[in-house]
Parts: sequence; structure tokens; C-alpha cells
Amino acid sequence: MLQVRDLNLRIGGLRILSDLSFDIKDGSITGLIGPNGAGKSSFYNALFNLFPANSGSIKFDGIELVGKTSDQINHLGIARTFQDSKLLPQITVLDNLLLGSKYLNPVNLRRVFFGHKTLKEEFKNEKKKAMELLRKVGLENKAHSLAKNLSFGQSKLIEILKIFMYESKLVLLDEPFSGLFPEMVKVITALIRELVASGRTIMFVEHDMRLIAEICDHVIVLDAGSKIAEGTFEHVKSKPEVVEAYLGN
Amino acid sequence: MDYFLHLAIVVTIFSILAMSLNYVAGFTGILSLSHATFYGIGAYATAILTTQYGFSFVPSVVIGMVLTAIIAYAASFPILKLKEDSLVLVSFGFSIIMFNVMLNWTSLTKGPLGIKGIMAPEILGVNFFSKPYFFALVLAVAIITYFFFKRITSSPYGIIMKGIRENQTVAAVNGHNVLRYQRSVFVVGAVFAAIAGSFTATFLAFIEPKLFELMPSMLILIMIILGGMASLKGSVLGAFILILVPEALRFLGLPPSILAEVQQMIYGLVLILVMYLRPQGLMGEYKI
Repeated sequence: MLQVRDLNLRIGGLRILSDLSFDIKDGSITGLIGPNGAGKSSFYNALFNLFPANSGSIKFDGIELVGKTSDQINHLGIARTFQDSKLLPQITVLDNLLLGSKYLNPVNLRRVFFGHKTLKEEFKNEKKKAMELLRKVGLENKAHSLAKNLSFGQSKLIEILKIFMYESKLVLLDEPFSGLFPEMVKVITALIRELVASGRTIMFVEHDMRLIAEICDHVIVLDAGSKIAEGTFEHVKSKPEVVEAYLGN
Repeated sequence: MDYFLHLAIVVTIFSILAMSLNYVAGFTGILSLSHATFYGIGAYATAILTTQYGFSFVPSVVIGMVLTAIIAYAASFPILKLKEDSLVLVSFGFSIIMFNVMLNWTSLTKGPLGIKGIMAPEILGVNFFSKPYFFALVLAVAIITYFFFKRITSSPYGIIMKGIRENQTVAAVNGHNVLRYQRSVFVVGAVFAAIAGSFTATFLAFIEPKLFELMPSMLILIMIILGGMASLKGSVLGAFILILVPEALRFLGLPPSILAEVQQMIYGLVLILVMYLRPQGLMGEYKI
């Protein structure tokens, strides 16, 4: 599904990713781990062209992503969350979810004025879907509150719910559990399992090795922008270079 | 009565301007200081076409709208390429250039002398010279403007606009072509400013470049900040307050020579107070 080859990313004089190469299989759950500054979030940013790669290739279902814009990459069926919650504070929780909606045709002024009935119908369905998601996690009473009024954990939860708003094939999660209470970790773990059950391919950055061992079937370890190990969690944790760079004794 | 109708017409024209700027700045976050320029292009198009080329009102408005759309589209490339403070400064730079075009292209605009004798609108044989008729016409256009923007902003398009205002990266990662939406919003907002300009030209029967310099742009911006960002009703309220309150100064017996300066000081004071006391404005949902 995803093929990364010789990817290099430099920002200023700093080398962020060096000759990074790996494959992600369809339907897999891959953990991307490594110490802070290893380049995990930067890889997501490079994939979405937020930090344009200097060289190398990222192919998704055979389509080259390098050089494409973020919105084009999203339209191919890739969704992501951010390490720090990026919910938009001054719009409602419902609108935050609806921002992730996909419509049959692009939403433009022609559709607003001349395709009003079909757009209205689709919009109604999207609202219904968003409300169902909120109901599922017990936040339906927050639908019309501004997102800035949510707690940290609720914001993280809404970020994950956004992924459900459209049929993405590949989901990139960036530390979805960081800073959360154990109860919220359980809720989000259940949602991630649901994402997996729906057939999506998942890649996620996480520092909690217990969760990585529990959820992931494949792990890639980065250090200083380079891949230092790859395989099952049991395999990578036995590697001395991984122990030295990240896991410790 | 005539005086009150005059004020009602000015408030209504500025309501159109404020709604159109709120569409651009309040809903989409494009804090443009070039709105009065597009207002001016519409005014000059109607003034020039009706006084020098014998056009009637409606075709002159339509040509003004098209011309404004073309110029706004071209201006959107340098303006929207930048963000936040830089965008504000580039839009200001654009308005300085256009002001000087209006001032110095004397063969077309008559420069600082302005264009006089602009006729009142005449549509389908009905002349709108009398103030009640003119007010009814401009009010109808303002109501259409309100529902036009209301329809857009309460649709999924409106959610995308607000998403872009809040965080362009998130909007793009969610699959929205930020620049395309911004450009469309910028051009549509400019076209409605041009319509307001056409009405101003025919209402005053005289225009000069000074009417379309930085100060009117600031005034419209203060109107939407006071009334409320991302609020169409707030735009109307802002126009209402900022036209009528300074007008009340006329009854305080201030010398006419300092009246305009005092009015501008009031605008400045309103801006300071709103930013400190209620940054989302009177009816707004969004804090700058």
C-alpha cells in the first residue's frame, strides 16, 4: 500500500530524515517508534507535503505523493491526526467533524446555489453521521459547543472521530494516547480497533510500548531520522541498537 | 425626513460593504485592507460608463462587477500568497497602487476633480432619483446580499471557510484546496463591494478618489469588528452604529472644520474599546 524509498528531508541545515525506506502492507497496523526528535512526526509531515521532501519517493497504491498538495493527498484516501490536538477552537465540535466530511462532488458555489437539494441531502447525512459518532462516545451534548471548551482528552477523542468521517484507506495517528487518563486510553483504543476492523491500514506513532506490543503487527524504529530496525515488536526489542537508542534496559 | 432617508441609504450601502468584508475577513480570515479599492472600482465603472459612454445603470453595474472580479482575481495572487500580517500589508500596498491609479489616470477618472453629474439609477423605466425609491432599491439589494451570503455561510462551504480561517494546514489536510476557496471568497466579496460602489456613485452623484482610500477600508473593518466577525447581522449592526453615532456629533455644535477628525477619533476609540472589552464584537462568534 505505502512504499517509502530513500526519503530525505532537510529543514534549514538540519537533516531530519535520511534515506528512509520501508513498506506498509494493506490492512496492517504499523507502529512508528523512536526517541523524541527521531523524525516520526516529520515523516507524517513529509508525507502530507507540509515539509516538502528533498529527495526520494513515497508511493501510495502506486501513486507518487511527493510533489502533491496536502488536499490531493487526502483525496487519495489518507487521513491523519496531529501530535498536539489541532481541533479548531473557534468553531463548534460538530463543525470540526464536518470539516473532515467528503461529498460526492466538490463543494463549490455552483453546488451551493444550483445543486442545493443534493448538497443539502448529503450535508444532512454527514451531520447525522457526526452526531452518531458523538453519541457513541457520549459527547453529543458538546456538538454545538466551541471546540475550545473541550478538555484535552475530549479534543484527542474528537480528532480520532474525524477519521471516521470519511472512508480513508490509510490512517496516520500521531501519539493519540499521550497525556490521556487510562479511561480515555481505553475509549481511544476501542476506536482504533474499530478503525482496524473497518479495513483501514493504520500507522501510528506512540511512546507506550505496552500499547505498541498489544496493537501493532509491525514496528519501524527510527533514530536521528534513519530507520534502525523493522519487524515485529518482539523482533525489534531484541535488537541492541534499539535498546541503546530508545528502549533502554 | 429627507435627512433620515439619507442616513438610512448610507447605512444600507455600508451594510452591503460590511457584509461583503465580513464574508472575506470574518468567515474566511482574509484580513484585507483593499476592500475600499473594489468599492471604488464599482463606483468608477458606473460613473464613467454612465456619464461618458451613455450606459444605463444596470449594464454599468454588471460591467463594474465583471471588471472588479477580474482585478480582484489578479490581485488575489500576490495578496493570498502570504498570510496574516504580511497579507494585510500587501493588501494595503495594493490599495495604495489602485488609489494612485484613480488619482492620476485623469483622462479617465478626472483625477482629484472627481466625476460629477452621475445620474440616479433608472431600471425598466422607473427612475430612482427620489430618496424613498432609492432607499427601497438599495434595501432590496442589501436583503439579497444578506441571503446570498447566508446561504453560502450556512452550507458546507461555510464550514470550510471557517476551517480555513482557523487553520489553513488543518483545512488542507482535511482535503480542502485552501487557495481555491480563498480566491473565490476574495473575488465574490470584492464584487459585492463593487455593487455598493455603483450605488454610492449614483446616490452622491459625484465621486472622487478620496472616497476609496485607506480610511473607508478601515471604517468597514471597524464596522465588522464592532458588529462581530463572522456575523452577517453584526455587520449590519456595526454599519448602523458607526454611521449614526458620529452623525450625532453634528447636533453637539462642533465646528464643521473638525467634525471629520472627531468622527475618525471615534472610530479609533471604538476599535480600542472593542478589542479590550469584547474582541468577538457585539454579535460575533470569532475573536481576532
